Amino acid sequence: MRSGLVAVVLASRPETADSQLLCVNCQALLQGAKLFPHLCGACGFPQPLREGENSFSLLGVRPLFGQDESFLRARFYELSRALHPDRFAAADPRARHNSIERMSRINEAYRSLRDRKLLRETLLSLFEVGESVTALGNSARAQKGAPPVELAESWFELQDAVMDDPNTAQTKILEFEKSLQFKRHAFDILMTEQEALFDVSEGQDRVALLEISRILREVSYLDSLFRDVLRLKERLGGSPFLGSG
Amino acid sequence: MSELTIFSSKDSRKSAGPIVGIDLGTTNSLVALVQNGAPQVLMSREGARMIPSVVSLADGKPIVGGQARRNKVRDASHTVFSVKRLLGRGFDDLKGAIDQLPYEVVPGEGVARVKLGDQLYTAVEISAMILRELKASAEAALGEPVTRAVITVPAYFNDSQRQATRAAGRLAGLEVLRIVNEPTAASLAYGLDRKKQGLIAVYDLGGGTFDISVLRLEDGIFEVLATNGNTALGGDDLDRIFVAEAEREIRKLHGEKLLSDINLRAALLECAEQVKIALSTELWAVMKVALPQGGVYERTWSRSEFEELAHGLLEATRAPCLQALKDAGLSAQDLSDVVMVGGPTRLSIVQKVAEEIFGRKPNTSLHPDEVVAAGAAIQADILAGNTTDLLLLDVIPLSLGIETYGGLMAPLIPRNTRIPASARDTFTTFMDRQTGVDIHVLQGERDRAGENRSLARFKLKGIEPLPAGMPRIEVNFLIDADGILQVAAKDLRTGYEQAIEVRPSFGLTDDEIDQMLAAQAGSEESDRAFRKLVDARTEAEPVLRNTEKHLERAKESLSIEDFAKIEGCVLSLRTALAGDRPEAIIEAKYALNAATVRLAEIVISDSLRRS
Repeated sequence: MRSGLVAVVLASRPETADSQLLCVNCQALLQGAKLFPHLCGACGFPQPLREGENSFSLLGVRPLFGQDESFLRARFYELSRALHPDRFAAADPRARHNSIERMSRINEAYRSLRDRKLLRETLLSLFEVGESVTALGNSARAQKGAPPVELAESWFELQDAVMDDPNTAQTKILEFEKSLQFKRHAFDILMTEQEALFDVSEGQDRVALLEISRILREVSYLDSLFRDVLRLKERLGGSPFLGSG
Repeated sequence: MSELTIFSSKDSRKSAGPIVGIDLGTTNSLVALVQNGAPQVLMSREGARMIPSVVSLADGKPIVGGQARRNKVRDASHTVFSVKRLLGRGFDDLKGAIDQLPYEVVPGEGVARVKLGDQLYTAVEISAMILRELKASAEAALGEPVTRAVITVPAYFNDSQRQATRAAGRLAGLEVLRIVNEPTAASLAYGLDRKKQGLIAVYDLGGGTFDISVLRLEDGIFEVLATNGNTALGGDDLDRIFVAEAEREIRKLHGEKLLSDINLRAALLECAEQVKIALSTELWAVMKVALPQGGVYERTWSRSEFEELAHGLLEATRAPCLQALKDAGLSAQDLSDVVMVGGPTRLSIVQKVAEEIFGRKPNTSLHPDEVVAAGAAIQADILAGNTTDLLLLDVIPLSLGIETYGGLMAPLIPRNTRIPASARDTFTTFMDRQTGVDIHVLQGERDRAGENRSLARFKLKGIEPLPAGMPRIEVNFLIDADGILQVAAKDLRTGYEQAIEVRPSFGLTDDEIDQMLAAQAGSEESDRAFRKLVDARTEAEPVLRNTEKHLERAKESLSIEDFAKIEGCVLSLRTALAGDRPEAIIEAKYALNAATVRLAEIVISDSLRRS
């Protein structure tokens, strides 16, 4: 594995004298514990979530796009074994509460770091780039940012053309869909390139993040176009062989 | 600096007695406990491993288990079974499911009730009776009080059904430490020996429900990857194949009226089950039921005829299986084993359908009836802190979300999310100067709010009156390892916050349960006394019958004193039996026994002489 600047920064931060972390139960120094910062090495008490912990720090990995799935799983299992609320079924309520809180965040972190789409969102929001896409924001219409001009124009042209000449409508829709798919594929390649740039820079290349965020907005506009085309086809009584988004 | 305290994750609770694992099944229920490192099924008080999930009225008092099961046909109007199908469901929910049952289900406030004699009971109360019987069995087997349990439910049970199960436990005097999914529990028992590793599917067809779970087993971790199912499909439905055919033919020959006879319907169901079981080993079986106005209904079934019809029904398990595989990101070839769980998986047709779906021979080596209870016992042992090398990582079966403007559901925690889980999202108002929002918590997979299950509603007030879209309302969901959901909503501008623990409407509030528990404190004593009375009667009645049978015939051979003494004892036993004091019955029975020593000798030598 590469030794990363980010990892060094993250690891060195707590070691400065004024940010020594103490166990909330026994006041022992937490640094150096095997499962830092989750459990106290001295008394085994699960620690409350602290400011600044995020999906990456919780699983002890660097905030990059490239994540090793089997490493994540091994780490997740190790943490689950120690922190799961079942281990604290008979413990005092504070310990139980911390365990539930910590484990639910670790569960969430594990899920979001193994899914390419969620990983992107998590990284972007960690570096405060772009808008976080919420459950309500699935609809691209709700997203801010201007749609790519040429795509929007050809979409309007297509709608006009379909109205003017229903006979050629299906062919035109098919062509438009193909161009959408081509565009979508190109975006995927672009995004992969930018992700690689970011990882190579050990997380220093913020421009790559901005670029990814821009591409994501366009992709989400594309996806909404796919849906619109689908609706258009339905309205025309379109046949399923036209393919789908 | 505060005092240094050493924290221990295992403390006081160990002294509070054993934690048992309970499989509360549609047809049968079991209780198990890990003893010396291995799960053991605890025998019922009737000496059986399974307690039929049947409740019947005897002399106006409910009895549970084998004795109640025998009343299913003998006294159908005073017997209820398969009550798990009603648990946590409203009357409207049950259309189609209840017209097949030979007992009466009536709409009640919030939840359906069943009629047992002239009393109405909720499914929670009936389930509590079954749980009380299991509790008593465990106590009898272990010789100590049992107050804590892990209870299993179908993985695809929704929140109301889980809460109803929990309520039944409380009503039965059990602290329910965990509700565990049945297929997951089964996997614990399957993977107990640690040699089993890899990706498996658990195909769990119970009496009334179907579950499919996909898991990864690795070094003592049981990680559920996805779960799916159908809470209205089970082995009972296979019985319906025979019943439906019988009803059709009886209607044709004798008219509709005959079919409204509750005892006939119960007899048909009972016989159907026997035919189904016979056909799993025989090539053909005869269904034969006596009709109430005389005559007999008789029909011969071949195995292939049954299997063809059953195949159609069992095809309904395919879609959930494929969805679970898809949700787990796997294909059938990735699996290293398909494990069969539940009594109906003994049927070769069920195994055949599973083989068709997964493209491999399913593993039928687990005890289909006992493995779920065994798994529940293992989870109980984990919670007790005794088993530390196993850990279950389970998921929620259905998505949780809230209703947004336009009647849509915005999912906050998608299905198959590992628990404990938390999620938060920010919402806003849709009207200018709106000062309150309704938070409507939903469970389900449909886009339209109305097509999902409503779990709770609450109002967040005190929002700053601002133009629409300006306020920021943060909604937080937290699900603990018990699957209990907490929802909090907060106006990020004013800081006003409101939180609720979701207690869905299964018809019983916590207060109602407490009231019932209080009322029951007295009745538990009377239940015990009643059982003693029934036991005493059951033992005394044959003694009385036998004496009366032989007394007349042996009259000549007996001395006048002996005869008079026996007559006196018979009279006092009869009087005792008519009363309700078990001690009096036992005493009179002993007296009669003692008085009939001479009579017994005569009867025996008489029968020897004749042979």
